[in-house]
Amino acid sequence: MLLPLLAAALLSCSDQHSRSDFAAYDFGMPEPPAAGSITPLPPPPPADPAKVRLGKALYNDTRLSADDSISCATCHDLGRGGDDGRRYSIGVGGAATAVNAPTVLNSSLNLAQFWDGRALTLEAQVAETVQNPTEMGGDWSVIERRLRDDESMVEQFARVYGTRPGRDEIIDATATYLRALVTPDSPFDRYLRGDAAAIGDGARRGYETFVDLGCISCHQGRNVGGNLFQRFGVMGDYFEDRGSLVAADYGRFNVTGREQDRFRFKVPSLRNVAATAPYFHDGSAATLDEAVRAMIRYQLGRPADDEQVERLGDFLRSLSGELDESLL
Amino acid sequence: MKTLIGAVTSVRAQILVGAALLACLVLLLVMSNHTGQREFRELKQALDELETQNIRMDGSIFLLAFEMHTDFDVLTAQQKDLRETALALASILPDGERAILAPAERKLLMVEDFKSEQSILRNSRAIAHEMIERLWTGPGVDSPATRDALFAVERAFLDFLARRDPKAANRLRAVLENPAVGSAVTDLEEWDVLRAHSLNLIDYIDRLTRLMQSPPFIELPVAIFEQNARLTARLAETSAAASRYRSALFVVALLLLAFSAVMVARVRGYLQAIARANNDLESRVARRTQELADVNAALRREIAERESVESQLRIAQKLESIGQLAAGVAHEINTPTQYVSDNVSFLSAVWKDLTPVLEDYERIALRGEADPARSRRIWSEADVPFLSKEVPAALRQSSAGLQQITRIVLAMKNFSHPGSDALQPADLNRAIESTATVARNEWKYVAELTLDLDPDLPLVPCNVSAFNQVVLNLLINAAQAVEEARPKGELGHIRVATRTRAECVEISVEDDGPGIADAIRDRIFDPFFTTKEVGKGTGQGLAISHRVIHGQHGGTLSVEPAPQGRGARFVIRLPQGRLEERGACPALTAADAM
Repeated sequence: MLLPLLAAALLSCSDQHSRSDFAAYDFGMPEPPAAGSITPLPPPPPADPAKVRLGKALYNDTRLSADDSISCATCHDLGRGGDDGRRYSIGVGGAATAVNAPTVLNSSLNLAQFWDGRALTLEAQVAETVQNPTEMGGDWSVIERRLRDDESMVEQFARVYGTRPGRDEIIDATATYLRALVTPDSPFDRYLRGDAAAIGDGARRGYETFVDLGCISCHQGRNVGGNLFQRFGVMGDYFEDRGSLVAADYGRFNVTGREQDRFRFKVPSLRNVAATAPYFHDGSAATLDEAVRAMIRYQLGRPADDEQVERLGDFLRSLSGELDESLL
Repeated sequence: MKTLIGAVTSVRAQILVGAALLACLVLLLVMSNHTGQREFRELKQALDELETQNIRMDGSIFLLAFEMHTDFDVLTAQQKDLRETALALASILPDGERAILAPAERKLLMVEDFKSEQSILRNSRAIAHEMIERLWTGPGVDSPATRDALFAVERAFLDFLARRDPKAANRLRAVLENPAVGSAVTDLEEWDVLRAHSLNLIDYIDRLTRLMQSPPFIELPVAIFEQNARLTARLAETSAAASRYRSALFVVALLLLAFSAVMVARVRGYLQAIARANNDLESRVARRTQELADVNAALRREIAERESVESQLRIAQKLESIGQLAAGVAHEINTPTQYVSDNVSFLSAVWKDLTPVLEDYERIALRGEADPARSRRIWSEADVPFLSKEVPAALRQSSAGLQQITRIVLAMKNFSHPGSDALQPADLNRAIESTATVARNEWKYVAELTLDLDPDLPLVPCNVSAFNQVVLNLLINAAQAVEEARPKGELGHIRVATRTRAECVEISVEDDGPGIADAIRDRIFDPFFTTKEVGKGTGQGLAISHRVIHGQHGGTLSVEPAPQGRGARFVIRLPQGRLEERGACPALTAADAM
């Protein structure tokens, strides 16, 4: 706002085409107001500890899958940053998923779930993932029967919900657990809170680079992303370069059917990003460095040197927080 | 009205009319109050909420568009809230899905687009600007052609940013695509980036402008406005209905009031009638009470009469016994009187016989005319040795006879002690002795009487006259019983004993007669019950005795098994001490009585 007005004012009164004149009239043009665009993680919402414990048990329970082979934790391993480190995950029966598994950490802070944002709530996400044939392939009636045959489960559900294990309660408990999976107190959050020594010089300069290059336009807010959808390949045709287009590449278009949503994906949170390789919906970037370079190329369409990329890496690594041990 | 209500005469009909009016009133009250008001409030609240949320969301969009706000968290949270409110409204608003939820969803998609494009726009502007800055510091900037070209680019760029209109966009595009400008710039990488981002900027600013002008931006507030208007119209409708209900309510309330007034008047009439009936009743009750009082008085008179008859009866009984006793007493007195009288005659004769002796003594002693022969004759004629032996005996006998008479008279006096009805401390032993004496004639021919009297017996509150009568009755009964049973020429036994017990004194009268049959044991104290032959008893004795002991003395009179297993044993127990202070006098068991 200020910038164009100022520019117009300057232009209207200056006929001498001298760049140094501009420098003389440099009132200290404001930097893009990026500082403060990233905010520390809020604490997880208060929840019934028994419900969270039950959710944790369900999260790790293979009985939620069709053939009793995989659990949520199989593809969203909290020990691996909340995903499985694979390009595509392997669902029941060995089928590969269409997209890379996103992390469950801080997922409750995203505006929607899945890369294409088709689930508006964690409950909807759990419900879909459990019964998705290429993921867990579960049948709710079978799952209910399995859990109802388990005395310990029956007892836990009775204590938490006062009912027998049922679809809605399973989903609710699991979603409650997922909401608890928040990773506060990353070095960068501590830095934001005023602890200047929490991050190193590289990370601090990396943050400046993150702002200067424009990464922060999309990766902002408490979750450093996760609150908008963005087209993949703003400044370059990523998919043409990669080749072999598949349906999943259409992203949000698959949900809304709107042309402007083609190739749009939920901007992923960069929290704990260092632990969630490979990157992007197709897992095409094996390392953080690769991912950063791809982002700069396709999203920012600008030059960046190796040092900047390295600093960005330092900054991104400072976004890794801690999960409460009781949740592991 | 009056006639209508007048026609409704039965109580049930009145209640029915009242209840119907009341039900009408309540129904109208409910209808006038609840015709959609709550639903309206709920809807209105949700619509207002949605409107507020939409305004807030628009505010965030503007803040972001002007880059006064740089993160999307607030806007994203507002989107979430707005979606929830729209979903809630869709469920309560008729046609809500189409009227509210759909425009809300479209607006939310628009906001998503805004976020995507705004962030790209920001970057492209910043990067293009950065590239211009870089070109100004590049190696070719000393060339005037390059500087002119850069000036042209920067001017067109800033002009476009300032104007944001198609003309400015075309000018910028023309500069960027001018081959002369392109060839003048030496830093090709920056130039390419600048070109790409500037063109991107032109494209995205156009897209953003069209987005902000697109229907979804204004559709939702319009939809909210329409719904609010519809709601207001419906409210007007319902409030008109409510006002109609209120009018009806007013009429029904008036009716109910009138009905109540009539009912009150009627109830007052009833109450007056009841009061009159009450007064009537009171006078009747008074009359009845008077009658009852009269009857009561008569009854009391009768009772008094009966009591007086009873007391007369008691006196009669007493007189009867006295009469009965009189013969015996006369006999008792007659015997000593006889021999006292005989002795007096004897003493008169003695006195005549002794006169010559006294005359002789006078002659010798006073006149000195001694004549031993004459004196010897006179002495032997007078038989003085006989006299000096018999006279003292006669005197002794007379004295005893008189004492006997005195005793009988005293006993008689004691027995018939007129006294008052009041209880006074009395020596029961003495009373028993007197009675036994008075009644001596009744028993002495049939039985031996043993008085086994406790010398330490305390004085006991007692009407002695009545008590005597009781003891007499018991003695006479005992004597008659013994007489019945004893073999000819043998005497039976009667034993009267007194004993001091814990709270009372006990007087027992036993005989060895035939005893009392169990069959009649319960009846012997009934008035007019007698086993005696006609003329020998009135059947009043024991009944009166019972009344005297129980009623007058607060004691007990009971018949108990005789100690030897035969005969009868009557026991009187009288409480010690003053009447009002006496304790309970427990009836003693036969065993205790022994």
